[in-house]
Amino acid sequence: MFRIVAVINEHLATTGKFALFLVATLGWLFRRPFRLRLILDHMEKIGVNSLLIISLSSITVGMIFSLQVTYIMRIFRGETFVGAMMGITMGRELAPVMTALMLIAKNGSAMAAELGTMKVTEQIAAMETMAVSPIHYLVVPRLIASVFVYPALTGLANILGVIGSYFVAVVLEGVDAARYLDRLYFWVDPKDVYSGLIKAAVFGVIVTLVSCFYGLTARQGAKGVGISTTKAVVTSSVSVLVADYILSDILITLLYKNA
Amino acid sequence: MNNTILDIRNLHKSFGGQAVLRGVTIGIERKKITVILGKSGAGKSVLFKNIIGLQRPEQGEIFYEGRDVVKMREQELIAMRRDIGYLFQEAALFDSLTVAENVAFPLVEMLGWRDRAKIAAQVSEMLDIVGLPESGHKYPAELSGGMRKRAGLARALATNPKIVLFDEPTTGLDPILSASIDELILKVNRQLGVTCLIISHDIQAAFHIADTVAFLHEGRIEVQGPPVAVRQSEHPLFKLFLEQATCPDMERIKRGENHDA
Repeated sequence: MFRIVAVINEHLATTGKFALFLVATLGWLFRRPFRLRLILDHMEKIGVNSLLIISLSSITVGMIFSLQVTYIMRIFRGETFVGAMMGITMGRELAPVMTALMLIAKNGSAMAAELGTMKVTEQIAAMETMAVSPIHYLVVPRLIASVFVYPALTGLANILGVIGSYFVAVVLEGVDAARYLDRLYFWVDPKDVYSGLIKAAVFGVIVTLVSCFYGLTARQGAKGVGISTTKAVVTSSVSVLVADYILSDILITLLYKNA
Repeated sequence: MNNTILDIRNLHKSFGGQAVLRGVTIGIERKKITVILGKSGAGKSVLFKNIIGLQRPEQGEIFYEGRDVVKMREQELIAMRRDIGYLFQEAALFDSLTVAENVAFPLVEMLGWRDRAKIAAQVSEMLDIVGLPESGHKYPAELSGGMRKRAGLARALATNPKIVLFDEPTTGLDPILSASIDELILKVNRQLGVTCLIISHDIQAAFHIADTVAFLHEGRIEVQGPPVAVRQSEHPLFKLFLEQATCPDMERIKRGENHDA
């Protein structure tokens, strides 16, 4: 019984600390200096260095999706709709969620581990003694970079996913190319794409904040860094999926039901 | 000008109900070397964090150049930290930056310097002072323990601070490297006129380089004064500390003797 109370207390305390961290980050977000070079560095680390992994995963997802759906739709003689289904699903859900999950694995974990190591080796304290806020110097540039990079990589995933799907459906499964493309152009609305890009930007904010928070609150050496990194990955992943549902509900209401 | 640059009065700090500092009172003289001796867990590092405003005490005052650090606002704390260098126990160099970038960090981020030539000149001068003129391009992971401390000191000195806080500067170093760090502290103090406040449990070094020695025990300064006077102190806790430090296994040996008897 006491253990349950202790666990609830711990989670409440963590939530409170995260709220304070969020407020502090918002407070530092628009303060000078803006450190453009650091923002560009992080855009390269998160974005450019993730091109290969995002390309491979999005092409593969597009191919698998097409393989499964073409088989099922063929039963109903509707295999030419595969392109449309792929475009809508990729744009609204698959591309932003898959990109976010891949970036959590690659960059969220790295952020938590890097900041955690800095914390336990007193590099964060050293920064504070030099009158430099760790949130301003370490978190804000990563956050700004993520807001731009997550949607950019999601856009790329959209395109490559459809290319993968086209290859399997048209080249391997023999779906008529003109009909595939015609259905794709007719059914996929720009709203499907930019609703996904909005989601991606929000996912970027969530992943960066959660990863940096756990990094900056790491304790007790290498073991503590490991625990913080695990927490960052798990919390980011679950948060992205929960946020995806909430955002989907909001965006469907705003973009489709009222349209 | 007041001869005391830092005046700490009746400082109390506790964590989770456990008192760490229990009324620390000490004055740090300008342009002198003060060494605060004490066992691990005596509250030495907490004292430093309170001095620089990273932690707030529950009670007491810390006057830096006549202004109370405890009551300072954020902007005043930032201004004060520009006057203070801090050498961490493990140097705390940023491991993603080279040594030169580490030394340049406070110049760019704290003082807002943008002139690359001016920054490079200052970095070069600091690395010369600490004896690492050829190591600017190296990363901290490529340096030995002693070199990391020197690089950390170069970073602490980069902004030409009035006072440098040294957190266990010789811990983990062999006697020869320890002596070289002690010489470096003396050089910084004598040549640059920087006030040095050192927390340590290295008694040899303390009596070798200090102008003032203080003994911190269980959150209080029990003894303080010039090295010669402190060494002859009859304070029982300090005498015990000296004995244990001179022969760390004293208690075990004593127990062994009793056991044998």
